[in-house]
Amino acid sequence: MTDAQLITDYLDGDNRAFNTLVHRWQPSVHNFICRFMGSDSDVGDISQNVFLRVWQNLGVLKDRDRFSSWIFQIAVNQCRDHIRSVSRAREHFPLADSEEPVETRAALGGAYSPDRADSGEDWRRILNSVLQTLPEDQRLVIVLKEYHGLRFNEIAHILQENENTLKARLYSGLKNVRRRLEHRGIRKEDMIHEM
Amino acid sequence: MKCENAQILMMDLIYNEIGDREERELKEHLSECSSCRQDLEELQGTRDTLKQWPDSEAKVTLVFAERQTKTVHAPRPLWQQGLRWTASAAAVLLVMLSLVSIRYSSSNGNVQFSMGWFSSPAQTDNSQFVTKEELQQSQREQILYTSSMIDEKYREQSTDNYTMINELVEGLETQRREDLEVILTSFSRYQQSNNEKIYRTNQNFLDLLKYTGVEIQRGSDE
Repeated sequence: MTDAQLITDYLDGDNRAFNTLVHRWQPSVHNFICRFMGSDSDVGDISQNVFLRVWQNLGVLKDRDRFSSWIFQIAVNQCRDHIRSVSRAREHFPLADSEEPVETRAALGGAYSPDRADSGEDWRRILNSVLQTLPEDQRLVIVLKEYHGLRFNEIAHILQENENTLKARLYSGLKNVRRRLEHRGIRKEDMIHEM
Repeated sequence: MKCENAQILMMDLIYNEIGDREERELKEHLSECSSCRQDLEELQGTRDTLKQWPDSEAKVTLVFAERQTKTVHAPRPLWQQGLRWTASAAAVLLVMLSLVSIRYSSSNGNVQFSMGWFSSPAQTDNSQFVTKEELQQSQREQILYTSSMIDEKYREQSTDNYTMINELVEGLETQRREDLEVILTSFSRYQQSNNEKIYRTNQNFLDLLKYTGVEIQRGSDE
């Protein structure tokens, strides 16, 4: 059953249809928030807010066939709101050194040796710390394109930006990722693509 | 083609969104520009590395639950609520009146009433006031009157409650009867549909027996 059909069913009074929609989209939304935010601690709350917004505004969604773009748009806005609220809080209540998140310390700190990047968990830690050092707009386009496979026109619709601007940003983002990986000791041959 | 334009097209190429014409132009540029060739290879490699980050599972599964409210009975009408408060207020007022002492005096044609919580011990001229017996009599009458008013309001309140409970029970009974009727109708339809199906199955079975040449004797005792 398509998303559009589930939305229609839910608006006709079938609550189970909405649960199916949540069940279908929760993994994508969860992974998007994890990769974009770089921390597991607030993912649950942000994810819940995303689906709350979806539930509140489903009735006014005009193009039900573009639900995927719409839900990512909500997720992006929720993440940005969260980042803003956290940075506002830190202005007033800065963290002591010992309370700084481990991922942030790793991102600012030393290199990882390549032999530690064997498992998926190692890669998750390394790539997470690399992405967190990128500018927010580059990280956003990399996550949406690389991990969610959205087309450029969909990302342009979500972020309300020009496609070529996004492509240029993605290019810079990928170059930055490479530079940071090399800085961390990931060998070039590990990243060379087999043509 | 400039390298800047090639970089945009490289994004289209590595994500498989490039058109045929653009691909030809890009390849033409790549054949001449070693820097862009190396760039493209590195971008592909970076993509491969990014793919190493596995998906994670959400620790909590979200479930949408719409909060439902059940109405047991309709709220009292406003006039009933008003009556209840008025009765209570009247009863309190009457009790208070029974506790105060009322003084009456007349001098030179002027009549005066005064009242207080307790009778004042310092009364200069007793002849201008009612006697102690008269006062006690008056208080007894007030108490009797107050009691009768309280009894009357209590009866009214009881009647209201009784009527309300009756209406509620009657409503529930009506609802129950309607529900039973719905169940009975559905059950009858279901039974009828079942009977029809059994009859059709029977017929089909008999036809099949007839077709296969097996004779059936109805009623073994006949």
